[in-house]
Amino acid sequence: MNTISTAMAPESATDETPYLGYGLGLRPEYYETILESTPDVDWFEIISENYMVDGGKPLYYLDRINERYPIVMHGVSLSIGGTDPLDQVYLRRLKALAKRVQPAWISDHLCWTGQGGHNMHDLLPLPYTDEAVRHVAARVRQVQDTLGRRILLENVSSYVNYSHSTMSEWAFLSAVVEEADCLVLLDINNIYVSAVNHRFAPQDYLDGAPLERVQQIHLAGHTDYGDFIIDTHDHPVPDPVWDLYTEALKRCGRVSTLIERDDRFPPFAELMEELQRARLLGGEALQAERCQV
Amino acid sequence: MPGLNELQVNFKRYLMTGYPAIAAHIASVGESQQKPRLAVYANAYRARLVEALAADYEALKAVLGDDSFIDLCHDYLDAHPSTGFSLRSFGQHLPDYLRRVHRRQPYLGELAEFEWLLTEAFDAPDAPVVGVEDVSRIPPGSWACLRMRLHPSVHRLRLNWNVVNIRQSAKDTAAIPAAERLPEPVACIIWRDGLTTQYRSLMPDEESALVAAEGGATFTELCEQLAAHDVPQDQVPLRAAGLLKTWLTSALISEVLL
Repeated sequence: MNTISTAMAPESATDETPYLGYGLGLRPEYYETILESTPDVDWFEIISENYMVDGGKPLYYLDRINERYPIVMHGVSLSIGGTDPLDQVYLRRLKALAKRVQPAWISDHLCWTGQGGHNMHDLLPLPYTDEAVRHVAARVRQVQDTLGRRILLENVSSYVNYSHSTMSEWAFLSAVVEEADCLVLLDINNIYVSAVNHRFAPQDYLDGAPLERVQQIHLAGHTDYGDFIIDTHDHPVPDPVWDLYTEALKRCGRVSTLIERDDRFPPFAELMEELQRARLLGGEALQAERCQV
Repeated sequence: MPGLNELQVNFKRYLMTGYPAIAAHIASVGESQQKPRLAVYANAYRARLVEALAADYEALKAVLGDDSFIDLCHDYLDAHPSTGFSLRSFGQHLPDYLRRVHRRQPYLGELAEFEWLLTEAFDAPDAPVVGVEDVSRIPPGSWACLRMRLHPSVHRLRLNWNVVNIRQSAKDTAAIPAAERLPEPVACIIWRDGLTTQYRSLMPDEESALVAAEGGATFTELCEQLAAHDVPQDQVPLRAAGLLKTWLTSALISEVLL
């Protein structure tokens, strides 16, 4: 029996984070199309850092699109797993942007991005250890105190595992979000990429992940290099990721879902077709859930 | 077992220098080798930062060609690793870096500075713009004391080389002209008019007047600057009014103070 649904999410979580439907990543390539045609997209997700500027086109388009659509903020530089102190300048700018945008929620990645004052601008893997759980959870609580709201942490794709990890990635994710009392952005493509790269069954990830805290899902494409695959976001969502999404919906019920595209940008209509596919799968999952209740 | 900080120090060192100590902490995956897996991160680190510089320095890349540009980016990355939370600021030191390292090709640093200031103007702070109508309401008796504040996107620079032509050719994907020293240095301004980044050259008297305006000079003091440029005395007010009108219509002035 399918008993896990958004109704099981912590009560305060559902209060904070409404169900938004089906969204797309907001990218400059599509600004004009969005404003001219007001496409049937339920919401957009921005890369927060791209709008931490003083003026000009980025903020102009952001404000106009925000007048018409709900927006969520997705960061790439929080470095929540880093060992440098949290960047207070960054947090102030993140908070200021949130004041301007009034996002439905704010997310970043369960990773580290720099050390010793240097930013690697990449989502680097953490060891799955108790030390890392305590370290990340404490920093999440600091960030949540600063922002005055709970954040979502996204699972990242990885290409290496550390030999001293003592637990699975999903156990690590569960431990961090429980200890920090934060929410989860579940990236289905990243689960698939890491499952192939580290030879585990993606269903095991779904079975062990803290699904009751999932408030958003990411879907994207990747590039296959034979021995491993890389999370490139430059292709349509492939069938294995759609299949895994269907599996996730069976376990989670409906979840706000977003399609990411960051390179080799197709005509907007192609993204709308992918979004429609996500809608259909979401509708089917909801129907199945109702039948089982 | 390495602590979290030691692990990150070693991982970063690998990304920045290739030093392999981190490999001792990477688990094997079946038949897969660790080296190509770690290299995914090393390659991505360099590729991402090269890509950021290529977006900011399109013309410089066209002048140097892909291979030399990538070599330059790697050298620059070693000299100035990124410290900002955004890639936006990563390329800020490249003009000075080129001037130091490529002294025999001084046009490269100048081209880079020109392109960087276009980037600076692109997302400079928003500010109000004063129009001709606003100024026309100022009583004639108040003009002598009028001061102005330029739009925060305005940048001035002096060009010794044909970098404007080079940049335009690169933008048009036309043949890139050879670098040539200009007969005389040319002053240039870069700014944002609405959402559009603009640039144009300045006559020497306009450059002096704009520098004066930027420094908080009154309209009278601005006229004195023009007079120093051999503008006939009876033509100075007309020239000053003409320049002011040009500045107002091209969104260069954010505030007038009386």
